[in-house]
Amino acid sequence: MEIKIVRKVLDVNNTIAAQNRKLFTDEKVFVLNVMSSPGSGKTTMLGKTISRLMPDIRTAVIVGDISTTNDADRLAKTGAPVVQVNTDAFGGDCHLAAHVIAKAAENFTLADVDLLIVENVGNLVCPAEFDIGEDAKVVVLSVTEGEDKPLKYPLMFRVCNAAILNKIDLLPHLEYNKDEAVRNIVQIHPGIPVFEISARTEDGMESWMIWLKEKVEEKLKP
Amino acid sequence: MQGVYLKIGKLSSVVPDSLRFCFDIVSKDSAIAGAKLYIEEIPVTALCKSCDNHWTITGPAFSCPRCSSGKIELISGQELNISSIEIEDDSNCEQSSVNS
Repeated sequence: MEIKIVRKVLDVNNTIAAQNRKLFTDEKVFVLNVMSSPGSGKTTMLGKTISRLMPDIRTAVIVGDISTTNDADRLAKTGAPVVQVNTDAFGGDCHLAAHVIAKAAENFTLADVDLLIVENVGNLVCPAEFDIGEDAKVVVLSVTEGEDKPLKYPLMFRVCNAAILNKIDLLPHLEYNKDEAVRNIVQIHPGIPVFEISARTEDGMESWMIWLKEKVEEKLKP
Repeated sequence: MQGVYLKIGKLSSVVPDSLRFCFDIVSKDSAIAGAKLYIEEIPVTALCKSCDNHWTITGPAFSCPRCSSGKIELISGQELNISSIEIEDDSNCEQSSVNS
């Protein structure tokens, strides 16, 4: 006898994500989910971004990592409150799910936060599948990775609202075809803004900051 | 339980073979031991908002093959759904549907 269920496996996560979304809207907090492969320069980029945002845009950070508190320690130097999740001495999750974010957000007084940045686990696969209640998703790719990365991880590049191509200061030392990389990103997601930056030298950061500030201010409007 | 019917979209981060492999391990020695997993793989289909073209996406290119517009909507391909389960027929049970 067949019993129709018609239920999404990720229902539980999606329900919690919707609750998160409502909470962050009620408390007027813009949530940015930042994803990438390991080593793309996410943490450095976020450190520079937060330094430019504070104190005008009050920022808090949730960092996800399988192991260590290194990224949280680095970002705490900006003065923003930072919470590290998923840390266990030898192993944690490969992505952040909605219930993890809900719990971590309890560490902040949301009335004092304008922007909550979630630095997701370095992984181009799983994080793309898990709605955490964010307002925007960003993927960071670096010029030391293959130009065809976007073609290999289409779901990630499809679900993101913006892409950052980092480490452009290294281009003179590489045989990297930047135009091909950007073409590939746009092939997967036509119309996606691509910000070419060097987090290290801060070259190109302005356009990224303008985009982010506009989005945050739009949500925070009374 | 005799069977579980899943719909898995080709764009989801789930690999049917791996799922089958894990399901066999997890279900063995459990209340659902012996249950079969039936997976329907759903293709990635899209609708072009510019020219109404409807097509199946088979490669890493997400613009309309007819008019090249990037304004597309994915209609299918990201599913990860349990569509139904099959349980042993019991002559005292009535047919029923459960929708969640």
